[in-house]
Amino acid sequence: MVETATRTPAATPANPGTLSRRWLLVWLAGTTAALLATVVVTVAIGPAGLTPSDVAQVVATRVGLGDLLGLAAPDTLADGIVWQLRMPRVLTAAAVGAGLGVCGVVMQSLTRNPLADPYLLGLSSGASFGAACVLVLGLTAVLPVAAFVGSTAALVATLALASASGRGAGGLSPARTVLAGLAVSQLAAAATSFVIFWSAKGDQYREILSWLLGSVAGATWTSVAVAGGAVLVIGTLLASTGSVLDAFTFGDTSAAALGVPVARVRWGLLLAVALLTGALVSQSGAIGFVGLILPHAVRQLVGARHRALLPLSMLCGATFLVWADTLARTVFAPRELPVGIVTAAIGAPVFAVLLWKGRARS
Amino acid sequence: MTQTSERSAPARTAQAHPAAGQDGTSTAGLAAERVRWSVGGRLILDDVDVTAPPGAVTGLLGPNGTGKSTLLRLVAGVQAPNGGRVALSTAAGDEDLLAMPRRRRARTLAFVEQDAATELPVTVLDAVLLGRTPHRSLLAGPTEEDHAIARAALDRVGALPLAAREVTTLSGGERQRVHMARALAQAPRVLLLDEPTNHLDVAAQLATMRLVRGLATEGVTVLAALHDLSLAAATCDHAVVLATGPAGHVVAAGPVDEVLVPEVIDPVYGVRTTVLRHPRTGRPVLTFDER
Repeated sequence: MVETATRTPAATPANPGTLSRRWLLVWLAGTTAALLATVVVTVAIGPAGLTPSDVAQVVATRVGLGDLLGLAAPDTLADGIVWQLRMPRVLTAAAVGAGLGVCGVVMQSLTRNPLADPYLLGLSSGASFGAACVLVLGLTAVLPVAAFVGSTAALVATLALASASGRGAGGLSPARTVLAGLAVSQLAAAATSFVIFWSAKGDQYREILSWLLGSVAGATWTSVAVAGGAVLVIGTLLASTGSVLDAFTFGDTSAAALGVPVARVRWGLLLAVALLTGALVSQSGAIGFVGLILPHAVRQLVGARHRALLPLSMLCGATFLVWADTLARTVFAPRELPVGIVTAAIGAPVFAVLLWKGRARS
Repeated sequence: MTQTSERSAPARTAQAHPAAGQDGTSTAGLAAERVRWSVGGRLILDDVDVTAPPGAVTGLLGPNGTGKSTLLRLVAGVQAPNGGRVALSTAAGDEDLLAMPRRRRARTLAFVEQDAATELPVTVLDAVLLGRTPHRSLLAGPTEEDHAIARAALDRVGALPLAAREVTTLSGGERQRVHMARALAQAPRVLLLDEPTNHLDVAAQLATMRLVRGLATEGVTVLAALHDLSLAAATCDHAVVLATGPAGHVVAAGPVDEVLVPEVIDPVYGVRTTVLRHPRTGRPVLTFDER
């Protein structure tokens, strides 16, 4: 045993651990409140002229609190707009944003690559390819399965390509992983184009294009169930792996030396990411930049510790995508943009700024 | 992992080098026996035997490409060897390090690899807290005690003032100290160091080796891959010299005075060695000429 390691040093500032834990709780409470407020406010935004209190009234009545709170029954139009149209859409956007946020953090940590996200490593393209195939065949029922199979196949291809060409010992090289991901992305995109070119007819083309650009316009309560369920189960599981991901800070070797079963953890977590990405893409299509930008931005605010980064990236990702989708449907109203265009329009400049700041610092 | 071998060697080693001041339970010697490793059909390490006596500093020496780093990785359990055994020998008996559960192994043995880097904005304190990972549940966060231990480790390497800095902003010497502190926070009985003085200036090299000596005095068993033979001569109690031909194998092992001699060094490195005596410490100082 190293004796000195158990000696208490003379000057220790008061409870640094407790302090950071308290700050984490403050951050979690703040971002949760922001997300809830975002949902209520954005559901009200739109041509119908609803107010947040109308939204609250509909939601309270629908979840069975109307009598308890003594609320008047909301009018049918408001109920229809809030409960059938906008609420599923906003909640799907929130679930997809949360999922992409947490996937981005996990991918960036495991590959030690700040550029890694489900979009860049080919997962989204793979999932889109899977989705395009079944849409062309008219098998919409198996869309989530096809998207998952596509994203898993893309993940396996990317990692196989990255590690086959790498050193036998050192694990995944960050640069190699991104290059492999780009290659797989391009291949999946080409395959998707081929499928469209070869067999898509009429409306199928538009439908597939909306997968490629990413959109939650057609979201229903089923979308909420699929995306939300996946995020609650897999996202929560991923969000609890903070200490494990921390151990990867200095790479695979140091994680292994800290007692982490590196191979098992990597494949387990990446499979979970592929599963979650598949579920999200099946409902929203491939939405880029959320998984890339949000973890970066949150890291700037709270540091690189994953116990804070994972849940906060989820919450901020949800809020971000809800606002992005609100912009997508209001900026050129009554015309709608695919939300993927909005996230790219916001994400690309933000990313450039983050790169610039990172360069200035190092 | 698969090969079993005779158990006499580590027991003999443990008896032959009783570390001063050891209490018999906390110090542990290290014995790698007939370790083999090959990549793509090419043999890199050929039946390598290395013993690191308890509470002593053992230098792992040899030219580039003899498999020093690979051997450390195998001994650390980061990679499984193709054959051979790595044993931890204590007064209570031998224990197979490679068969030990990972987390327990990480509480027993710490490994400071060469040039471990990160691009993430982690603070020095958080980096050192990683050393506490094997001591707690993977679902739990660091405790008050973990913080105290991490700070003590930083204090020990003289890096406590850096605690709030980001690792990416540190100089090479400062970063090496942080990695040493992370290893200390693991509270290991065995410390493996891969080129711990690489890229460091002279003062930082001496500080690192003074720290290593201090740890050995407290009963930590150190096995360090080193390039600088004079630094090894000044610091190590024992030395193991690896050579290629074609695969890495041991050509000499034993007390540093007996191993760091021209008869061993000259053929291995292809140089002409002159061994001088340090006027103050009396330790060997090696100078080299081309052959």
